[in-house]
Amino acid sequence: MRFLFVFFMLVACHASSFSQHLYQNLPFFNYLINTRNYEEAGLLLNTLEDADHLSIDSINYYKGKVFYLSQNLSEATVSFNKLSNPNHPLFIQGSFYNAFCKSHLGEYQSAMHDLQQLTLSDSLIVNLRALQLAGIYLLDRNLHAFDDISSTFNHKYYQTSSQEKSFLGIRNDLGNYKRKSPFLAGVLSAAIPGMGRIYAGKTGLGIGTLLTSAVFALQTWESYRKDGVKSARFIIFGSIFSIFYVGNIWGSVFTVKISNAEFNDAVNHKILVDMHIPLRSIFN
Amino acid sequence: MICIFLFAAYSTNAQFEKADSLRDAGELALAKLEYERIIFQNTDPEIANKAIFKKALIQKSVGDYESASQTLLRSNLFVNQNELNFSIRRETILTSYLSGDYNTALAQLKQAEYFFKDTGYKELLYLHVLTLNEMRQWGEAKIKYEEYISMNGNTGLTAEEAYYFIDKTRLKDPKKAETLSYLLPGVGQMYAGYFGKGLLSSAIQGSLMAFGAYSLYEGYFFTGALTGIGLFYSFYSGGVRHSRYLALKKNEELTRKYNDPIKDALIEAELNKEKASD
Repeated sequence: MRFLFVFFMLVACHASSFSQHLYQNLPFFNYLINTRNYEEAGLLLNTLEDADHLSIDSINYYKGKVFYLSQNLSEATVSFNKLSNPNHPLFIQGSFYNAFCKSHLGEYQSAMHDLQQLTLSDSLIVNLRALQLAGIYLLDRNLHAFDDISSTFNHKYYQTSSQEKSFLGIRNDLGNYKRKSPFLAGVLSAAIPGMGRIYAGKTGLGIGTLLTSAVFALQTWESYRKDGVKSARFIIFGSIFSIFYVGNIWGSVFTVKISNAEFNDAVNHKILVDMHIPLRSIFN
Repeated sequence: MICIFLFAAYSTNAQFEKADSLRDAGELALAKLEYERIIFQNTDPEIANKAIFKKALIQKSVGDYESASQTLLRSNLFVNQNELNFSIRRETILTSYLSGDYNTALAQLKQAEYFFKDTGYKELLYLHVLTLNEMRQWGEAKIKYEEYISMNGNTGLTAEEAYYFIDKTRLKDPKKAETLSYLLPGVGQMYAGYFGKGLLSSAIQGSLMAFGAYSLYEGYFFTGALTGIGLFYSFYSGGVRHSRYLALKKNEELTRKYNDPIKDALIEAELNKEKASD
């Protein structure tokens, strides 16, 4: 009898140590995630995928999460997109993370669609969805839609209230921001070298350009005064100055374009951070 | 109670068997995952250490010395100083050395020397010499090299021959190179061992200075001040930085020149030892 019992225990142990079910592997999976060993966490999920068909939705959620944590956002959306059962306990979280990843990738329409189709009952999560949608409208520079949805902001939840305020501030900045004109920058640079760059907000660069132009201009003027128009010295310095002068007009047009892009990038970065913080504090 | 012990032992053994068979079948990533599972599930440091060791060997076998060293450093070595413990220390030293992390290698070498003085440490002596060499601690390295020879016989290079440079290492001080270039343009580069580059630097800066002075003398004030002196100044400050870079580069070259023959002799001696024992 005793031998039989031992035998039974050994068989049971054998079966459990090789079990390939997500549920039994979750503590190990969480350990891998907590030690930031994302590569092996992903591998673990791949081995479970073939064995545990019943938990396929959970596995896809965790795969998406691993990709998201290792900052591979396009792969993350591929996994999150596979979530099919809206009644699955992880479906809502997965959709929120999916929408966030898509917002990062610039797929605003798809992100909005993911959030809007959710049926939510918890008022905090409803509030979180409004915040995420507001963020996406700001990223899309759709200020009218933002104004509509931000009227539902109630600053009631500590997880989202500071981000709600931040979004309203960003909306004002976007409303007041005037795009700088590349044409005006070119004209200003033609009048006084470096002025175009100062107009674009790069004061240091502008002053530097003005000084360098002055260096060549003074030497050109000196050679003109002492040796006249036909002297080699005047032609050399004059050419250098002219190339510099024309190049600078061209450059200031680019500086304005870069400066506009920098403003947009900085705003988008801030919006995404504000979308991200409540997501992590609510779902983690 | 007996059942529980049997159970645990059986389950760990089975896990090792599974991981080992995956490794033998070439499924290295899966094998690493299973070793990691053993590390996660076992609080007994001896078992976790064994799994860590096996995982690191896989990483080492594919040439990923840095990860192998990082894995090995997770082990708890302040348990029984047994054979496994020594093997972990040996591999830590080897993989840290190979990934260029000489500080870790040296720290582990000192621990191995303390715990395994009369046993396994002897076979690590060559690594101790190599590590100290890379760290330019040649005085200490020479003592270890002499110890190595007294234990293993001659390597074809006596300690005196190997460390001929020890009293007159021609390492350059980057700070000194910079200061020299501040005082006399080009001399910093010459001090760093690049006479030609120094001379060229001196010539360029000298002629720019002369051009500036001549222009001023001729009444071309702007040209003299801006092109002559301006360009001179940028070559001058560039020269200072360049001489520092050259001093560091020279030191690297000298280190290789000093260390490589010793490295070759030691590795050859170790290979001969291995052949003899086969």
